[in-house]
Amino acid sequence: MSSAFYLIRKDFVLIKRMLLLFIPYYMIMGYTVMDQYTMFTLFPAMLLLINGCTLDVQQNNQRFLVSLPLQRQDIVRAKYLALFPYALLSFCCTLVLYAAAFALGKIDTPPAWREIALMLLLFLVLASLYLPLHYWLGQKGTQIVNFIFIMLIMLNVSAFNKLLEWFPAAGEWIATGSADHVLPVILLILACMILIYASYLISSRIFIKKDI
Amino acid sequence: MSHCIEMKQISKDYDRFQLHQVNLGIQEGYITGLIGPNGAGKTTLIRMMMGMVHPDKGEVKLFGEEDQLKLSRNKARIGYVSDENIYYEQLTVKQMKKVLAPFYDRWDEDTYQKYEAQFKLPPGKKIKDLSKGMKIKFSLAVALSHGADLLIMDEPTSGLDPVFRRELLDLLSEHIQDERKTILFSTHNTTDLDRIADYIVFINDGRIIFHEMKEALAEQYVLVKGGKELLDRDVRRMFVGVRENAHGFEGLAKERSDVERFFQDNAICETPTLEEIMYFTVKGSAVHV
Amino acid sequence: MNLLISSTSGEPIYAQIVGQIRQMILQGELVSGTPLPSIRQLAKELQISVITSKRAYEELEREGLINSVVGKGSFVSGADPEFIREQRLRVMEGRLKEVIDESRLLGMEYAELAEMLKLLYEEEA
Repeated sequence: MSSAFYLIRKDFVLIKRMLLLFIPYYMIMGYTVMDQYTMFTLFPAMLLLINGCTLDVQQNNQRFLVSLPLQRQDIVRAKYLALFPYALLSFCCTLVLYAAAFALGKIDTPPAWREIALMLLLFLVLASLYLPLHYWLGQKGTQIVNFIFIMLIMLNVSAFNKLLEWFPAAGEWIATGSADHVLPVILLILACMILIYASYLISSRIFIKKDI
Repeated sequence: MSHCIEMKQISKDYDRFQLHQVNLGIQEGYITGLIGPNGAGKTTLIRMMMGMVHPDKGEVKLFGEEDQLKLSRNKARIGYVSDENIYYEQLTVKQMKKVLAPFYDRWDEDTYQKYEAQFKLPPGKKIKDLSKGMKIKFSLAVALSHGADLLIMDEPTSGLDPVFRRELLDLLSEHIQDERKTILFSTHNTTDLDRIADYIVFINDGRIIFHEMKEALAEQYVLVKGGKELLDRDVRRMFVGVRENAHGFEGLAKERSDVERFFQDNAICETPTLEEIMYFTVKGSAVHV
Repeated sequence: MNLLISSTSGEPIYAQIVGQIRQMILQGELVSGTPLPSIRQLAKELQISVITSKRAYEELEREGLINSVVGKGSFVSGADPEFIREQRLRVMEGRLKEVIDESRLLGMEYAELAEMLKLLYEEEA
């Protein structure tokens, strides 16, 4: 298990420079589109994931990983476990941004907790689609996959608003949220967990068989 | 004598290249050199040992283990020097060391510091800004700092200046002072091996041509130099490979004593260097195909 | 102990080592009981392969010039002077044979050679 910790730490060492870019990003985005949680919670987390994955295949770095005394599924597992610190990090950033905006008087409503939670869930769903593709396509396909996923998130901003128009009930839940809707929420979380696990199984299967 | 790497009946098909039923056992306690022209399959074999490339058929054992879990743990006992940089280029030498050290239980920071100083590795410099030689020195320092029992090196001397090449040979001899340590290195520069290698594995076009003690090679092979009038069809057949020029021929033959008796004083019989053995074998096999 | 190895001389490296150590022992430069470097140390110092230095030691052992004790290393053997004298005589014979061959090449008669030897011997004394 400690190996997963060191692998994740490795990812953070690599994406350190990207984390510095977060400060101007949040400042600018916070100034322009304060109510878009996609841009604060989902997009940064996804960027971290994509960056961490891309840096692993950029040169022959997967060979380095495989040369370590680890099993291949350990390497894959660490990537999936890294999703949680990524999600946590962008969640914290969102909160900090909100607190700052609130203190400055730019905003006076409480944070939309349910929307934030939904974005985090969406991040996990997107990641579980992204990672098998990353392991399958390797170095050659990474550029295209990255592009598609960033486009997906961009579209998500408008798609999400559309979705709310189609299902007013969902919009209502996000806005108010009431106890009688607990069951679908639990089901949603459960489905998401199953999806991640299935995705992990597929990714490690792909990576184990691969010639690096 | 035990083998620390064992490959049995390994086959692998690529588009333009095949490994054919390779059997190989690397002796514990010795230096084995893997030679062959570029594209012969040296790197593929080494990557199979490291578990990077999977054979289509056959099995690979490291330290007698073939179970996947134990095999991957056993990689801690291997110091690997790749033929190309496998480290994160955007990290500094120091950062990279910090990233990889915790994966090895037997990591010895003092030893690493010693090699860092000896190789004059700049800790603050990014890997991508290191010269090829420096990159190799870094991976060598890493390989020697985690108590590896087996060093597997793919073309470690290419990109090194002659002075450091000699130093490297010293380091390898130093490493092998402990008779449980083993070294396998591939090279196409055979002069490195002429000196210190105990065993030579010669691979050409995906096949192992021979796996011999270097000492025995000199007694087996003979390089014959003589006038062209000696070369009739039967004589040609004695040679592994022949090179002709305006003034005569040079040929490599295998049954040294028979060949020497045959030519007697009509031709010069010499002990071939590894390079000559390699050259004539590759040349000969190209003609026969 | 000085060992000079040439990789271009044509003589196998192990034979060069055997020859030089044998000579040192016979000339009394290495006395009985002197420890020799370990096989691996010798290989390292001469930048030669372990198998080569091992073979050299095995050869010297066969000739009775050195003894190897497991875990302790190799030592110049305590062979009796008579044995060593015999060995040295054999070396001398070899050299004389070389001289004879050389003299034949030059077309010298035995009497001529004997005369030359006598002169040289008296000159030295």
